[in-house]
Amino acid sequence: MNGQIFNIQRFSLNDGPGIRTTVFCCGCTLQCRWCHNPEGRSPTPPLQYLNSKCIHCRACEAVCPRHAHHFDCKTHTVDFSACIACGKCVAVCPANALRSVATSYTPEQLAEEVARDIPFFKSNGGVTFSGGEPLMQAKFIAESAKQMKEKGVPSVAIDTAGNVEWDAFEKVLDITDLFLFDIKSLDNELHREGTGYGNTLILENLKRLESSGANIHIRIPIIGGFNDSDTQMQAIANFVSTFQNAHQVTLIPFHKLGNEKYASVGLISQMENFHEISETELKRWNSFFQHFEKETHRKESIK
Amino acid sequence: MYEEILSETLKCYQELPIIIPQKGFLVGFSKEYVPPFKKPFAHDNYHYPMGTAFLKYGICGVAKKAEKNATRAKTNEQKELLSGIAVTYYEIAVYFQKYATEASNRICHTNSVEEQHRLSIIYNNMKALSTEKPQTFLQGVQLYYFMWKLRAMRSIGADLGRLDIHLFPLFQKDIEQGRLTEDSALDILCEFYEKLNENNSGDTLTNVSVGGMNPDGSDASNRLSVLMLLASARVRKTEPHINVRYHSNTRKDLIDAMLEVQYMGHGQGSTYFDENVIPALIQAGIPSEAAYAYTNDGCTEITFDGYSNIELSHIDAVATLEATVNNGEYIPRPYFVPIRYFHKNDNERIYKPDVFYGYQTGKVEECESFEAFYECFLKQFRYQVFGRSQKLLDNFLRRRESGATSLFLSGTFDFVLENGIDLCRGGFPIEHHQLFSGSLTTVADCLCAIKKAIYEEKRYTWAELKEATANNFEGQETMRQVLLHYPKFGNDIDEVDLIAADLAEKFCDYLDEFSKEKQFRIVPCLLGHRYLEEAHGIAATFDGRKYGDPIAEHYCATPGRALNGPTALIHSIGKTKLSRACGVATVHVSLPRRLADTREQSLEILHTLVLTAKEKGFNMINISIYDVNILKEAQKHPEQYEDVIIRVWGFSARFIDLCREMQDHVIRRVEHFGV
Repeated sequence: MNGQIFNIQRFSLNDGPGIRTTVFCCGCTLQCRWCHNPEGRSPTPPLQYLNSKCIHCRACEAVCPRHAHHFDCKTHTVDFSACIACGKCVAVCPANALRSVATSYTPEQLAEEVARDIPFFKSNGGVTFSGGEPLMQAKFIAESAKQMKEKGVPSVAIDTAGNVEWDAFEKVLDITDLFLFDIKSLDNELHREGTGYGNTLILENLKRLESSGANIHIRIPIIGGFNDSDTQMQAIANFVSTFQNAHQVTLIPFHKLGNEKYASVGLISQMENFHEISETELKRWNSFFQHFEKETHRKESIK
Repeated sequence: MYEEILSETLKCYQELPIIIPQKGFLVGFSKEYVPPFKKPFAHDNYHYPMGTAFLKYGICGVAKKAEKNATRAKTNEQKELLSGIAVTYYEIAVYFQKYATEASNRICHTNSVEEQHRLSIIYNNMKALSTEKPQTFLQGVQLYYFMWKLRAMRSIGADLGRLDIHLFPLFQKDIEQGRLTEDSALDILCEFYEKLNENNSGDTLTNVSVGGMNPDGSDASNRLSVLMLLASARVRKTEPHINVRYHSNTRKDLIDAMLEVQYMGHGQGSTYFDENVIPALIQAGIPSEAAYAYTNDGCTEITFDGYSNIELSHIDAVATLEATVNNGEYIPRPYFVPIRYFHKNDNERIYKPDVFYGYQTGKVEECESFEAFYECFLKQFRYQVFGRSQKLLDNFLRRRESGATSLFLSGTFDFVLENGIDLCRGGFPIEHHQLFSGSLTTVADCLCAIKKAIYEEKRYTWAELKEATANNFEGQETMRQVLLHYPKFGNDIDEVDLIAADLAEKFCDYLDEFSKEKQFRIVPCLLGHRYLEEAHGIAATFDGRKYGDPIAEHYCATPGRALNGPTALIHSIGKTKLSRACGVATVHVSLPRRLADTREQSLEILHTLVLTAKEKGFNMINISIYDVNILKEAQKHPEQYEDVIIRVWGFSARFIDLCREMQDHVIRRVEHFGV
């Protein structure tokens, strides 16, 4: 059983408590228009080309069996539709401008990698599976997490958007110490417009997760031009206010840091349709979640 | 031999200005006077803490003791030294008396009751200090300021040592007798720090160390240690450079205060780990009593408060690698440019590395394996270690023959008052010599690239690599990228980290060998402070670094190369037996400004890093937190960012005071950190 991972981030400070290692799993069941990890959307992601690193040596052009690399005097373009992700160009690129997004790991390999930072997982630190949608690889995660715990990783968190069948949750329920659960909107149609899917399954899963007694940390991405309204925030606040096991709510302001990644994997960014929100608005919406008192934390904007 | 020193000391002291500021209780001059005389300061260096005899006996007490012991001195030299100390300290008492007189005069000329009260406190303090030992905490701090200033009048500053231990009895007595509250003690400390900052800022050598472990394992720290840290957090300036001695029984309020100082991000509150440092020092032959009294020098290297001096030399390790490749030759390149030491006002010069050139270890083209080349490098490295060590020994012998210490500094040490032996001539209980070798991690990056490119993958020949680096990789960007993407120290990759570990081990072995052969102890330090100059005094390097781009400082990753974040960096460093470098293995970890979501979580993260560094056997760690965007803005609009303070090497300084190249170096530390 192998998992497809597109990044492993050590010293991760914003995906759960303490110092964590965040494992970014390939594949997502949503198509959020503001997604800041577009390279991880596909379960079998293709090539990534980082234009700023290319030194125009044309080594890739020489080895590509599908002639997917094109050079004129100043630019290097990649025809992603032709690419079969054979990895030949990645192997010869001296500047690491080309990379295979996904790396295949066995649970043993992943556990070994994460266990490196066990000395730093004091104060509730540990591993966070993120993505993409990590629960698309629930079985792999369950096995990896089990092995990590055996090695001494004290805490396992899963950062999920919740748009998976409940049996995926069931696979990881016993091994997971914390669920970071995203809520984007309670409005089904708006949710469909922004993410390509309605929210019925997500909210159902959240309720079931809550009833199961799982430890939940609600995370709400605030996307200017999507859910940045008092109505939207109030609705979410009312929804989560009845939860017994959601101990924390964090509002995550939208940023455009992932914008350039779209082109690097042959996608077109829609980030320009959305905007960052002001500190004042963030502060106001935070006040909607005051019943979470000290455990509600507002993130600083990334600027 | 002390005749001239004494006569010029007296002339100098008679010229000293009387400076009573408009507010506050601490008096004394800062920049108002720089003595035109050099003689009074003899061969003093400012890297170690002065003694504390003045706290024990008072100024007049020191004079009397010296005077008395002069009459029993066995040699003329001892007699002359002790008599000179006596006269010098009586003159200091006269100077203090002038302050009392001036305060008294001003009392008569003010109608403000509040001002009269302030001046009368100053009067009482200075009057008391001119005749007796300090009786209150305020008097203790006042006396310390004067003594520090009298020592450092012609220097940029001087080490202060374990002030929390030295001043605690006065603090405790005042608190117990209800004369002092912690708030007022904090005010006094802040005033003291402000006065230090009035003198200078940056590379001032003005270090203090708080906390620590007693020989029985108990905690030596006290509430004054905590307040000294809180004063740093309140004053938020560069001086003094405050350091914390941390151990398993360190009190929680001290840890909390240390984390607060670290969280400011200024690179203050360096943490030293007693449980790693002290056994290593004892193992290296330092007497236990002194090892427990360790403090740090003006930078980060370890010295012994009240027991030792410190004499230093250093090796440019990356330049040593370059010399190996060039068979011992120094080859300046046409693209070399002048560089400053670190400050924007330092003079520019073409830096020729501190390497003994001319020692041939063979043509590298004839090395058939990496191991053969590595042997050449180690020969060259050993040669440099022995050469520098011999210089330290020669200087020591010269000083012993003809060196002299100022009468002022001599009088601060009780053992000099007892035995009349000059500090330069064997007066210290411990002679402390250190050799620095920083940037070994950049050498490891280069060696790893050479190993892979030439010997394993056979991608390039020596001739190709030498030509490319000689030409600063002009027209060879593909080769440079290949070299750049070989494993680099700081990413938790054994292949390169273990090369660095071996280099550090060899450095310590060579020093041991020298020390045994010559019966002259030199303690190894993995520390380097000339990294900016060295980066401009050598050509491009085999790790893909272009000319002028940073090389590593101390025992840290080359700036911009640690891409897996600080945990990976700490793992990489921890693979080295750091205890062997018991002079210190300096580790800077620079973090991005934004840590966790809340302050409490951020402090917890800092504490986790500190604890893990301790577990990994570090002897110290320095944590800085920078916002790269702010630093870049400060480069564009320096006038708006005068308060941005960053770590340089053993000290923190205002970012805008650094030369452009050092500013860029600091930015590179965090710019690529994978956070």
